[in-house]
Formats: sequence, structure tokens, C-alpha cells
Amino acid sequence: MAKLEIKNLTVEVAGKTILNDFNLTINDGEIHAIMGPNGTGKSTLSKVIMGDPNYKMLSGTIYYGDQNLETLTVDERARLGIFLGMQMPLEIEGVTNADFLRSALHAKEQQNFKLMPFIKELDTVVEQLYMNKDMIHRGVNQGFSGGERKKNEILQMYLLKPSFVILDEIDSGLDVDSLKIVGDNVMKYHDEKNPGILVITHYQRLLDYIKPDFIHIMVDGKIVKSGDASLVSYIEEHGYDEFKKKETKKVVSIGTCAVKETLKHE
Amino acid sequence: MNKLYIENDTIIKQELDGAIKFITEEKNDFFMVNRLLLEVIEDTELWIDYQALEKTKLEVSIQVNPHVKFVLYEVRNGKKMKIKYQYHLDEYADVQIHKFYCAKQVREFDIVHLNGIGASVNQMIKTIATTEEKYDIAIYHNAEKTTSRIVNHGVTMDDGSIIFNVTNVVPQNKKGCIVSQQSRIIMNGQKECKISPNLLIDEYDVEANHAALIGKFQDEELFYLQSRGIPKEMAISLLTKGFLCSMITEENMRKIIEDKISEYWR
Repeated sequence: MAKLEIKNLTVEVAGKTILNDFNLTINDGEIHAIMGPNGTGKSTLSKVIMGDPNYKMLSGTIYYGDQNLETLTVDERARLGIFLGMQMPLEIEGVTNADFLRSALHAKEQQNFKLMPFIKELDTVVEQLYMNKDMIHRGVNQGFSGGERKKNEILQMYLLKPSFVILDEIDSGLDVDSLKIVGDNVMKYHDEKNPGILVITHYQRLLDYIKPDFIHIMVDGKIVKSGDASLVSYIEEHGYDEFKKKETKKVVSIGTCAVKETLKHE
Repeated sequence: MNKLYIENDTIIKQELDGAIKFITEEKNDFFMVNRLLLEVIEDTELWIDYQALEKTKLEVSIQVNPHVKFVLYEVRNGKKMKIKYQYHLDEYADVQIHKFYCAKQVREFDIVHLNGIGASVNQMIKTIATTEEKYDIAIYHNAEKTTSRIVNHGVTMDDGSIIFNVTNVVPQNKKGCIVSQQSRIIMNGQKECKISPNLLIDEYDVEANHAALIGKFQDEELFYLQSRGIPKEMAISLLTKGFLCSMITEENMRKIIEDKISEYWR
């Protein structure tokens, strides 16, 4: 168990700065929720923590405990205990969930991996998440509905037992019943293992089940406001407009026949 | 299941029931080609286990009688082989072909004659190429309402290269034919690969489609697997397994493919 510490992080994707001098610290057992308008860099943050090579860190540091994550590959970060529940979990042709999970656990536990306890635990979690039992023999996310995919992410979280969990819009594509199942299971996992959790969401509804200790509003690649759960209700009521940068309006003079110089745009 | 064990250009063991008539085995000494003629007279399955220990040329001709359903499995190992398969399908004959190759320097020519109305062929080739391989596949829709579905999946290693030339011919007045071909090559080496999908169709009343793709596994797929702690090499092995085993339902063949993949990606 360790804390996640992000300092002065600036990240570029395809030549565009997405995260700009971003700072955040999440201690053991704390639940943080990041909210914000579309395109503000929330998913980028999750990918950068996980080490997606498509995202370039220009400056800053991300530490998990005393480990500088920048020096680790994606799989090394995962084995260190970081888990990313993705917004759009991929469909992988031909690879069954069973093979996938077995490989992941084998990579994590090496010789300590035992098949029977794995099967037993898998059965328990499948039941707990109200998933179809035959999903384990199907291809990873193949033919899964949006809700099934999200439940599959939570299933993986349970089996891999991470010490730090990032959930990127885990509520999208979930109906009300599935949302409750997913939310309750995240909290159950939190109560059992006490991981740090970072939840990225647009809506209050997920936070009816996952109870965050801190809420952060993210705009233009940085946190502009932090607070407790009451901030969620405020956002629901007022939206993000007041947190967005107001465009500076410049006073310009319009040329007349007496003014030959045309407008110059900066 | 019927079985044929072929070594170089000779059948070394056969286990055939009455559903398959083994007509003749001819040797053309001038061209050094051995020719096998088979007639399928009832619904049945045939497994061919083919080992080429030296430079070999072989021609296999299979006649499938009207309304007969025939499934052919072939697993091939060895080197320097030139093979020609000819299939003749009478009306409403239904042929499924599943082949897995892990051989060196393969040159194959498959010709399918869909001679009878409603005849149908589904051919699936899966191969791991460590040297040059070339496959020419020609399907002649010689009758109305004939169907061909061709799937070619190849993975190259180091100095391996693959060429898939697939040609469908639908002459005028052969109405209601269905033509589908899909070829995909995953490159792990640097050598050039090629796919030529040729649809020579001289009739309007035809349903035809093709797909061709040469490339590597998607970064997103690798990221997803690695984000669960699976090292990159193991992730590639898992994806390869998924790719080559997809649509393979025969357990024995699936096991052979998996074992071969484990040999290459330890």
C-alpha cells in the first residue's frame, strides 16, 4: 500500500498539451473523484498514470510510494498494484476471459498462482456481479453489452487485487441496476482491501454509491477546485461554466476611411 | 474421423471408413509429383497429418458428391513443399476446410470448382511463417447459388513472409452466388507480405465482399493486456493465440496451434 503523488505534470498528445502543471496526491484508502467537462484531460490522466506510450510526459513526476512510475512499463505498473478500469474496454478476438485472467494472475503471482482457488474466486465474483457464468469462456468483451464490459472490469479488479484503482467513467453504459451493482462492489472492495481510488465521472449518480472523500473539478488540464461531496451537488445544479476560463475580450477599434491601418490580430 | 498420414509424397497410414473412397495414388516420375484422388460419398470428416521431411510435391484431388457434407482438417509440418489441392463439388455439397501450417517454404495452390447448384465451400488457413510462403487460391463458381467463404490468417516471424492470392471467378448467368474472402497477416518480422484479393465477377446478381489487412497488433490491444500486468511478450503470444485459434472449433487442432504458439513465444 502506498500513496500516489502527482507533481507538476504536463502531458502532450499529438503535439497538444492536455495536462498542464497538474498536481494531485491520493493517500491509502482515500477515494477521490475527478469531474469536469468533456475534453479536459480526465481520461488522459488515467492513461498517463497507467503508462500508455501514446501520451508524452513533458515535465513533472508521478510517484507511487517511493517508485517513480515514469521508469516503469505498463505491465510493471500493473504488477506494482495499479489498476485502470477503462472507459471503453476493448474487445479482443479469440482470447477467452479465462485465458486472459489466468495469464494476468500468472504474471502477477508467478509460481504462487494456483488454478483451483482462482476458479473458486472467479465463480464467487461472477455471482456477486450478477454476471453470466458462461462469460468466462467467451472472448474478452466479445459480444458484451456496455454494462457487461464494465462489470468485467470490476471482475478483473477483484481478481487482480490492486492497491490503487483508477475507474475511468465506469458508469457510462450502465443501467440503474448495473450502476448499483458496480458501485456497491467497488465500495465492498474498498472496505476489504482499503485501496486508494480515483474515480473519473461526469455524473452524480455514480457517487451515490461510491462515496468519495474528495471531489476535484478539472478544467483545461488542471484541478481548479477541490472540496468534499457537497461540491457534486453544486456542479449538478450550476454546471462547469463558472470554472471555465473566461475568454479575454479585447477592445479593438474598427477602421474607418480615415484609419488606413487594418486590424492586427495577435 | 477418417485419417490420412502423409510423409513427403506418400501415404504412410490410412484409416478410412466407407464414406471416403480412396481412388488412386499415381506417381508422375517425370514431374516428381504424387497425386492422390479421393471421393467423398457420404457425410464425413477427414484429418490429414502431413509431414514433409524433404523437398516434396503433392497433388490432392477431392471429389465431393451431391448433398454430401465434408469436413477436412489438415495439420502440416516440415519444409520445402509444393502442394496442389483440387476440389470438385457437386450440387449442394458442403465442404469445410480447416488447415494449420507451421512448415518452411510452402507453396500451395488450391483450386475449388463449385460445379453443382448450391455447392458451398468454407476454407480457413492458419499459418505461422518462418520462411517464405505463397498461397494461390482460386474458386470457380461454375453453377448458380454457390457459396465460397475463404479466411486466411497468417503470422510471420523474423524472416517469414506470406503471400495470399485469392481469386474468385463468377461467370455470367451464375446468379445468386455468395463470395467472401478475408485475409489478414500479422507481421512480427520485417519481410514484405502481400495480399491480392481478386474478384472476377461477370454477373450482377452476386453478393461479394473482401477484407485484407497486413499489420501488427493494435497498440490499444497491447495496452489493455499489459494494463493487467501481462508482459508485452506474453501479451503478443496471447493475441497470436486468439488470432490463430479464432473460429477453430476442433479441439485437437486448437491444441496443436496453442502448443506451436507456446514454442515460439515462451
